[in-house]
Amino acid sequence: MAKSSFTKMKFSGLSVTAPDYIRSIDDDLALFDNNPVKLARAKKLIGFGTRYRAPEGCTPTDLCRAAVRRLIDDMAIDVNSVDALILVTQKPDYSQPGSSYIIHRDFNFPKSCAAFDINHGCPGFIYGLWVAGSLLESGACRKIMLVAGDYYGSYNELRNQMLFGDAGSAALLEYDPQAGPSHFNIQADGHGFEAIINPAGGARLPIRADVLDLEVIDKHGEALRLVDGYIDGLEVFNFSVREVPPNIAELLEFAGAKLDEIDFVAFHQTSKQIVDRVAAKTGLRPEQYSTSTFSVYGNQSVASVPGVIAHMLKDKVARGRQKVILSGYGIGAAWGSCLLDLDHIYCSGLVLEKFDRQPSREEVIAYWIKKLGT
Amino acid sequence: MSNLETYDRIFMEIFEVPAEALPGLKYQDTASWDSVGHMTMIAELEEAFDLMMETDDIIDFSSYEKGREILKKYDVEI
Repeated sequence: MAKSSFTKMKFSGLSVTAPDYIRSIDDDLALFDNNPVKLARAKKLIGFGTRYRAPEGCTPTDLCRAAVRRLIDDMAIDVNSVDALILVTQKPDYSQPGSSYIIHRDFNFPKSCAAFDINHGCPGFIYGLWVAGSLLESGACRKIMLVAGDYYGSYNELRNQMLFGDAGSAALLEYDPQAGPSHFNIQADGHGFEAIINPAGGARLPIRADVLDLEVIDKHGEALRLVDGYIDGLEVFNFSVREVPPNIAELLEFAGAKLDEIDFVAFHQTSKQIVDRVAAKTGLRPEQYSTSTFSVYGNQSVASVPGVIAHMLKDKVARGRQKVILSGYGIGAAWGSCLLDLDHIYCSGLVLEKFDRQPSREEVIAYWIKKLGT
Repeated sequence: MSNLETYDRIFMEIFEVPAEALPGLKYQDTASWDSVGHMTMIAELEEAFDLMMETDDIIDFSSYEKGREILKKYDVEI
């Protein structure tokens, strides 16, 4: 198990952006067989409420760009002082290169600033923080921008889509010998890689005409497409409740800390039902965690842990010190947690922005025809 | 209402099946008993009988009969 401690990573600032288009679960009554009782039950159990979705054409890179811009402006960051730009997403603008280079270009980061993507989803912010902490601790970097964003993006598929909200985030992490300790417990189990997966679209099964409209009818008569995301809901529940509480218990033991000392645990917001059960098994008091970010914004995937900090802790971390555990889990299967202090940091809160001026699909195609044509 | 009546009512309401379909009913036998339906049923049972099931029991809860066995572990006789 990858347990590690850092003493020189200062978490200085966090900006989180979501698109301003709101969708209510009440708009999805058809998914509950037009039965208001079923919908009411799902709202109570899963915690469905509202979620914020990006308009078609708006990508996670666009959401991240807005979060980066706010972080740079509000913290008056000189991009020439940044040593590394790490972008965590599962949905880069292009299959290659990574979207970190687009952000690098758009904000004129210097050539001395390294840039790379990490392909990750729900646990990705914790993984990214761990990589950033390692680079700071070793002295390889003194200032890192950690950018994380995702969207569901599959507009034809509604059953899973109703869980998800879209968001981008940007965090500033700095080398500081006085930063104080942060502790990590990072884990994975590759045997779970099919539990959350997009079957088509990678090198194993590139998207071609033979899968584009291919529908697989499952046991319930529901049509699934290989180009859409697939989630084994029961397996995700099982894995989350089985793995996350002991991961946090081991983290606390490794850090020499007690659960009572923790002000707040920012859980990845899978659903109210899963988070409540994980929290109960961890032994948390109700005031030590929340599921309301899921109910208001949806499951924001890799941006969900930053989303909880921004939504639930904005004033507390801006005006004082909070001893927090950040816990992400999901795709991979991977999971991880970290214990650190958020002490007088810049926090934007969860800011809604309009994203109505993205290039259309036709404009993107026209751009590449002009760029590549004779 | 007896424990059996409560148990049957939850099954019938959530999985939208008549009483005569309950014996032998298994996970994924009906469109409503998918993963969401399963977790809904578990939540309703937990609330009705004031208990919290272990994860392994939730996963093992694979049929109408198996559920009755599992609930015995929580002192719920059906």
